[in-house]
Amino acid sequence: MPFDPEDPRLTAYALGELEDGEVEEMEILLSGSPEGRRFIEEVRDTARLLSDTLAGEHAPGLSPKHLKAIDFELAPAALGMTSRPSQDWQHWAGYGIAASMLLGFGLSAAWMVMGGKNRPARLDGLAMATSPTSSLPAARPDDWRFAAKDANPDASQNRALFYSDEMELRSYTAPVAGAKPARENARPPAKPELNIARKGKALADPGALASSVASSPASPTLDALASDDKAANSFNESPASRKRSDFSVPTSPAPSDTAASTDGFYGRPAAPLAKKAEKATVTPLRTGRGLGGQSEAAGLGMQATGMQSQAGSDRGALGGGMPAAGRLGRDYVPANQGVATFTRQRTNEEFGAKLPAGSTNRPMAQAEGLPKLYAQAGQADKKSGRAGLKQAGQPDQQGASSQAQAQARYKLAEGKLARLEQLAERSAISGKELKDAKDEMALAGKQDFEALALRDGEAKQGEPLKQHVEAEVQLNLAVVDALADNAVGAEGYTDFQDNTFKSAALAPLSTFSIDVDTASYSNIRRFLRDENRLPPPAAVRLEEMVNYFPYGYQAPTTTTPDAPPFSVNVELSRCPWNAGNRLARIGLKGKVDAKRSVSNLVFLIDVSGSMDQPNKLPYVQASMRMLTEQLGENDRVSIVVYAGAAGLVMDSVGGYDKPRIAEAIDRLKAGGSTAGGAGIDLAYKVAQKNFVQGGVNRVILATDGDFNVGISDDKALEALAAEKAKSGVFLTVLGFGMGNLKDSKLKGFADKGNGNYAYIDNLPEARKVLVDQIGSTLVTIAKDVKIQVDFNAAKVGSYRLLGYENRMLETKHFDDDTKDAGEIGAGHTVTALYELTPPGKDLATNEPESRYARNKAKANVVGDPDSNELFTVRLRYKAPDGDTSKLIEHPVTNAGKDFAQASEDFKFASSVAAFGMMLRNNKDKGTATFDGLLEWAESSKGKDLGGYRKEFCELVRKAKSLKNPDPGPALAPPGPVK
Amino acid sequence: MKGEPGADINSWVRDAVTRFEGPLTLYAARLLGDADRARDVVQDTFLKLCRQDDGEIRDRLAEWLFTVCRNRALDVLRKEGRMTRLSDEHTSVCASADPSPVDVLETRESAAQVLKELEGLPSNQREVIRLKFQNGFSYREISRISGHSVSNVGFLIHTGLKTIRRRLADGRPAGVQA
Repeated sequence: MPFDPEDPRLTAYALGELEDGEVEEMEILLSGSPEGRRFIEEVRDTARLLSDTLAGEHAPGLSPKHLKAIDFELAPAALGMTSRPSQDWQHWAGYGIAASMLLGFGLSAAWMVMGGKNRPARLDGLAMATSPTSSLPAARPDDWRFAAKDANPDASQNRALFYSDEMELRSYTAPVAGAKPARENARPPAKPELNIARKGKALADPGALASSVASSPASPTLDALASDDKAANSFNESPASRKRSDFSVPTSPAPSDTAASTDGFYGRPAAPLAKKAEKATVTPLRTGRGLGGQSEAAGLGMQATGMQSQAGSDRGALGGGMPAAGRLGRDYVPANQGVATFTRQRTNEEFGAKLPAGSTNRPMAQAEGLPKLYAQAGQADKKSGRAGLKQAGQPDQQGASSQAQAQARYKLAEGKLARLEQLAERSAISGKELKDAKDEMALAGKQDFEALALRDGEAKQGEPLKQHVEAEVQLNLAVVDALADNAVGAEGYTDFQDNTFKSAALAPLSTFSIDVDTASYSNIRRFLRDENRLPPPAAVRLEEMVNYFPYGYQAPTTTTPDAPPFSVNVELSRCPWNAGNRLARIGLKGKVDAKRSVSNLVFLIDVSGSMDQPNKLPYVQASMRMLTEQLGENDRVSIVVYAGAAGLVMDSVGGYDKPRIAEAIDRLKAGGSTAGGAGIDLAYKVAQKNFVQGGVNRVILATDGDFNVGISDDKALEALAAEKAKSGVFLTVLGFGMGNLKDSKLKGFADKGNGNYAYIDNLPEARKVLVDQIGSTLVTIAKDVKIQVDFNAAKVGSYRLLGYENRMLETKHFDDDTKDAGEIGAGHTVTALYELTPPGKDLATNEPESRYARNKAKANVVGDPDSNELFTVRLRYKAPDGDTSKLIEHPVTNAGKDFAQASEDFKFASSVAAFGMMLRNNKDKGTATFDGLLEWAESSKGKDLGGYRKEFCELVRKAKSLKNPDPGPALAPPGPVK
Repeated sequence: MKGEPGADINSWVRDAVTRFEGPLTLYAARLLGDADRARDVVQDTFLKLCRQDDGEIRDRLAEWLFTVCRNRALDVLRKEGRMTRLSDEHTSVCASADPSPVDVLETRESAAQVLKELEGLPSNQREVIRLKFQNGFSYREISRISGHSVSNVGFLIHTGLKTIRRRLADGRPAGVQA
């Protein structure tokens, strides 16, 4: 073997990295090659030089801020262990901050937001994330820091200080921009709306008045702020345009209610006050997007500045934070759980659980006391809330306060900015916004620090309090981090509002599109089983849960070409979670295709860097292999991959050549960014090129949905999918992985692309979707299937559709064949449940479209309000290649059955829906409990082919244990428990 | 973390912070091109460590930390849309401009020159070389950290070293031609 300088083994040998066998071979080679030996020497020289040089490189190292965050991540573990030495990392605390006087914060998060027109939900998530911690100080009388200090004579003093300053501490949730006020004052004309907004808000909220007057809004608005952010978050999701009327102003939700409801939410199962807040608002549909919503919900006058661009002076601030807060109990409960999964663990299990029962009230007292205080004094105060400070032996606090305040503010801004930056990176916020934020912080920070430098000595007096404040800051940061880390922060869920009861007299027609997706259930399963936590409510979609399970509905019996390809099975019984109501199930069952027609499948595989995880690309490959196994000789498979760019890996290969397909699958490797749009484009082109007339033509997209190059906007992607769907090529979206699963994006994409969406969290799931149910996954037997239920108001008072929230259609769209709806696959079952209340006085409807209208305007109306019909189910569907829809009508009468007499399928579907309602904390869940629904499910498992129902029961038990953890030393920190 | 004594984990994590804070920030700073971001990334890494089941990674802590740090850093880059993937095909066209003769004369084999040459390498070579010579990881460990195959790591280091050597040698009046 001759010497070859291109042989990497030479270097490996020189560095001692060769395997034994190869070493020998190399030595033989070198023994005959002086050139080779010289080469080796040179490599070693260079290596030494590099090692020496690199060893001398200066490492940036972590800043105290970062170290503190880590310290706080560790803190929960130490909680309860009183001996934990808190001192050892105290040098990390770095700067001295007498942050006792942290006043100036209400303005906070708003300015960060202001720059952004469409504030990404995840950024809101950040703010959401911080909010829970705001209540932590109150909830942590035995914080380890105190515990550790109990030996210290100052301990009680510290504690007194701590409580006395509770509201200030709370203000840390509003952290982003302590810097903001300074800037605002400096350039008042720049934001003319500011004052208006403030005024408006002040009207609604005395606390906010104080804060805006004093320009030091560490006031009760704090929690409102927190809730705002949450509100903004959910606002983001709703596509509809914002209507002012959607935001009712509750009559009397005091700031304290807000605080309490937040507390109630995060700490324990809803406090009574939370309930109150719930009732205070009835929001038909939360609407508005991004900033608009944000400012609408604003508890901060400042936030109104953000409205300039979007909402104008839409009085968003009038309602101020309080309406938002009022909604908190209701809207947020679902919206927020993504965050709460983490915070709950902290607050509930670790801190909240230790909170004395009455402590929720404390913020109230504070809240009432503070506004006045700030209004009068503007800064460190001699009275009420402040008094605690003095009594606690801090006579000179006043002098130190302003600079301490300044410094603390700077620190906060700094820390928050850092975190925001990080999140912003994840949320693709524009660099400009960040830069603006940085500039502002730099400006304010400079001023603050200058002030500080002058009076550094005095600052030390605030030392004990400083620690708490810093602690709080860092805890916030740590929470944010943990959140971001905990995947939910990065996963994209679009929240929605549960369907509520509608009057059968006023709105007799309920129209929706069918939905055969099942992703939500497998995703929930992943949360519960693999991650040991409750899923965020936004990830819980009732219809996808119910539809996950196969039901034994009667398949269509008639097989004439004109007969509908599916059967309609309606069953009614007593509603198990509300004995006074009835529960109706509408079950569709697609005909089972004995033999699948020839398939032209295009795998579109995301091989971007984010897929390079054990539960992503390898699962994709395994899934593809399974599917390949199912292929017949005449089927064709192509593989398109996309990462930074899209490429055709394998052009249409026949199903007979399985080894070649398998080889192509094996070769897939992940790396790079994700240009989803280009890949989709290419995949559809390939599919069209190989189009099989009358066969199955389908693009199978496997991704985590984290498109970040090219078209990445949800709407644009949906438009692309809708466009492509016209080509006659159907779509299957398989979601993989966790961490940055873009659930909402994938679902929207599948819905618009004549497709179905499944989430593959494990290989059995892949088998279910791609092998056991391959027919329904691949073969569409009817498309644009719409259901319209026409209720007889004489028999039904009101009705509520369980789930299908994002599949609702307008009445008129039922007959409109241009309106897209869901597809049904061969053998698919689709189940929809309606809860019905008994009729009221209003015995019939005048809605002319209804079959049961008193004044029958419609020609084909044959129903009679006096008949025994409860409702009529209408279905519209198109043949897979058809353009005109066909109509089925199916009147239903009440059989008066009890739940006990209902079929197993009925009972099981009910329990799944109840489970979903529990997970979403649906307000209409009635008497449903985990135990109760488990009983229904256990008794209705039936044959349970595939063991899905058994697994469901296990998940319910798991959810129950997560929701009501055994009391005890369960202080394990959040995160996967191995 | 399991229900193990928290103090144990605390001290373990803190030891890790003390030990790896420097190397990780340096590594991340090189990947990201700025120290502030690097600190955040490293902080994230340690936060993740706090939640990690220590039994699982105790034996390969350094490797784990670098892997997590790397992924996090790449996430950051990716989200910024700044990540230019330097695949092997690109390396040839990505070679840096030759150092000016003046530079060479002044610095020769000095540390500065080595660093300069190192920085002139394609990013993937740069990275593995740092992992190898700055952090002392084996090819195998580097492979697990970076996701390159072992042989690819070997190739990258080989090529990178050769380039550095050649450039250093080229600067020498009586250089040895590789």
